[in-house]
Amino acid sequence: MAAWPESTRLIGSSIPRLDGLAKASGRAKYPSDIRPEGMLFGVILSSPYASAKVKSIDLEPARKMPGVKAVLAMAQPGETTIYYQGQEIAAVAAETEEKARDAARAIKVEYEILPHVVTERQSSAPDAPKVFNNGNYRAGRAQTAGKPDEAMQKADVVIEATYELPVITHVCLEPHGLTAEWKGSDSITAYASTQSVMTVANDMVQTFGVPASNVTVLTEVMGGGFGSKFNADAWGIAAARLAKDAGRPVRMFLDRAQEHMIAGNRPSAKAHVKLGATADGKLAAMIAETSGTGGRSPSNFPLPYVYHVANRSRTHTEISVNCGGARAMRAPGHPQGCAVMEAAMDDLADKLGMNPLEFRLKNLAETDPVGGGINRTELYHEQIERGAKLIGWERWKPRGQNGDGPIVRGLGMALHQWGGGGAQDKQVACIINPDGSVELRSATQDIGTGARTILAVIAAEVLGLEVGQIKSNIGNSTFPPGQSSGGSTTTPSMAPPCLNAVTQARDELFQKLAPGLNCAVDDLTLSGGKLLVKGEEKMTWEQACRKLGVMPINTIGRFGPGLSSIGVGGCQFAEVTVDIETGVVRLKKIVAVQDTGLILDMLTWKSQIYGGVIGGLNYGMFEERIMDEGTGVMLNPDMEMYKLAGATDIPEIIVDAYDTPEMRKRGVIGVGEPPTISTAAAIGNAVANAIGVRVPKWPMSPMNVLNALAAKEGKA
Amino acid sequence: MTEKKPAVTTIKAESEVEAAVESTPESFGPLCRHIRSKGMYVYTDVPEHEGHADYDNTIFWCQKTLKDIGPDQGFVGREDCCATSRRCYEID
Repeated sequence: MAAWPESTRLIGSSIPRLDGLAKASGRAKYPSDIRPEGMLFGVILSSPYASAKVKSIDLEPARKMPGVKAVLAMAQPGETTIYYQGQEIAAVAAETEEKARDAARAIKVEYEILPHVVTERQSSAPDAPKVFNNGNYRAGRAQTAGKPDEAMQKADVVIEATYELPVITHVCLEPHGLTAEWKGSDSITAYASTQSVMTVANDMVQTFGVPASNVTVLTEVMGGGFGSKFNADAWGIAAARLAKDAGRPVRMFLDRAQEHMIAGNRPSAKAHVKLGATADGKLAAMIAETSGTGGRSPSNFPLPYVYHVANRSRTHTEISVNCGGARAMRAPGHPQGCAVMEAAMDDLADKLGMNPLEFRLKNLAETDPVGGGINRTELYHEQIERGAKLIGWERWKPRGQNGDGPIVRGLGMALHQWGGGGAQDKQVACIINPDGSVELRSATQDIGTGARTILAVIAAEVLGLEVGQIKSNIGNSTFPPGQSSGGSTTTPSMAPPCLNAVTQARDELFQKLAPGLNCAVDDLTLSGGKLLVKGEEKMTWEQACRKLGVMPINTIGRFGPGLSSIGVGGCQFAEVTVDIETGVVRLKKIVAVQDTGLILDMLTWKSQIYGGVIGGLNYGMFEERIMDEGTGVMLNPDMEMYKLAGATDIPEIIVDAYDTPEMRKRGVIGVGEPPTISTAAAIGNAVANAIGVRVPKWPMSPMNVLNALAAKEGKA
Repeated sequence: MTEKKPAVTTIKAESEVEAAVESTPESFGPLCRHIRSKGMYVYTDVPEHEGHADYDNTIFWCQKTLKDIGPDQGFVGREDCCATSRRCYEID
């Protein structure tokens, strides 16, 4: 089995994405850009009600509309229960999108409107209607360790507070969907915006009973997934059904409002926390009652987070609401757990009169071993030291000492951790052709993290070529089994088989060349596009490959031990200013210190950290799903009133790669999710530091900030 | 808020929906073969990866509907999809 090279030419350097120019120039064709010959436009008719029964559906008016080629009921009259606004009722395929929308509007649906509950408050009210078969809430997994009540009694200092984070929805730039094209009665190709071409292919096989060998799912590039694009979805299957009925390809992508309503969300979190410590700042006990909603999906999250609390108890209640369901969203559960824990830590440090940085260092586990023999506690100490220098923590002052206003300034910090290990059963094919071209193939996809480029970097490193000489062919479900992009597992799953495939291919090439060169295989090396014999240039790469005759080399690489590992962590610091008259928070600077294993491409690695921080600051500052309790509808299903950062909202972001020889020895570890975890927590703590009082509800919107300031003055 | 014992959907047909509120499951079996979660497609080299010891936020869907609602209009979940009385329940 291969090993990562000790000295590298390309690995670890900053290499632009292979498809970067195509993406930036608009040449890249995303799945939603694909237009097969004869393609029809599909539209989903959604329920306008949050809770209802479907009494009747009349599709005929739509069928009679000009340009309509197929219509499909997705709800069954007398049978289907509507559980949330946006739920699929019918689907239409027509010559143009406008005609499809007109036809969808023409469908006559009779509903029996039922009582709804669309907020946690509404669902858990004493007189709330029970709108779900198993009641509106259920107990989540609970935990107890030590003697929390006894320890809390003995604690010298205790804080008791309630923290809340809202439901936020997935806002992928490219909406969810696919274009389905049948080729004969039992063969289908889908151009899908997905983070798992293999899962979508399996959905087509399972739904239509077509042979797996006749299904192709293609995702050359995609416009974001973040955990929400794993399967074909009901609308993807509807596209395939419509395409079959119409005998023409059908493009079915959700509109933005549907994206917000039915394409998944990050559950809310509410936590009533008691946290106690000794006078010298050692955590003594934690007692927490938490709840959350993701529709009807689980909303639990890790708590305590990162810090060691020997005596603790925690209960969790899953609240159901008549809203679209949760889906995994970049580090599921962790941003909520981190925000709650880090807020409580800061509040307790304030009550203790301690610097919150010092308080954190005191309460890390003594040893926290992770993959590769690393003690995460030691790592945190070093990372915090680096982050503190970069943010200028020496300027930190206690709450209430950061100016008289109206503009006050504050600093905050938070820690995070993640797994990031890979699956060990994926494959990469490496083909070296007699013309010197090199192709990698695998049924993985690039969710945006740079997977295509990463594989090419590995191949170019091993073969002594430039990255642009490698064709990194992914996003095709018919290729050797590749990793679904979830859990920050793509790179640690795919890099090892890629290294092995390319190394095997190189070795095969050497074995074929050595006899003709009258040398031993071990005498051969590749460098700078040349074949070397005992260190001396002998011929070009192309000349060497021509000696293969007509037969390419084709190898399949599999996982190898020691090439990847698991367990990463980091810390983030935020500096903010707050206008205490308007409640407007401005981000001034964010520092993200992140460890990892072996960094394959520093540029795409940093790009993930930037993206994670920007996602995190959106969570901390702007995002919130707002439901209307009276009508049961979402009030901001768009990109205007559903707030996201614009260019001027992005502060200076300093990314510090904790890239050391020890880290590199661990092999590859995924880093897509961890950098988004602690941003909102650090921002919340910076705001509290600035204004002298905790803003207990995220996002740090003017309303929430002003409410906290009013509460401080007893005016709430 | 009063903590409730987790209940399980036992709906067979539309006429039983209302009657099923707070109902007690007749029997539990192994997980239905149509239940799906992200971990099944990500951690393919280890069985039953999802679900942390201290918390669980695994989101499930049904292969038949690709939603968190099953073909019988009942919910998809670790407990829900063990109810052998559901008309859509299937095991190998």
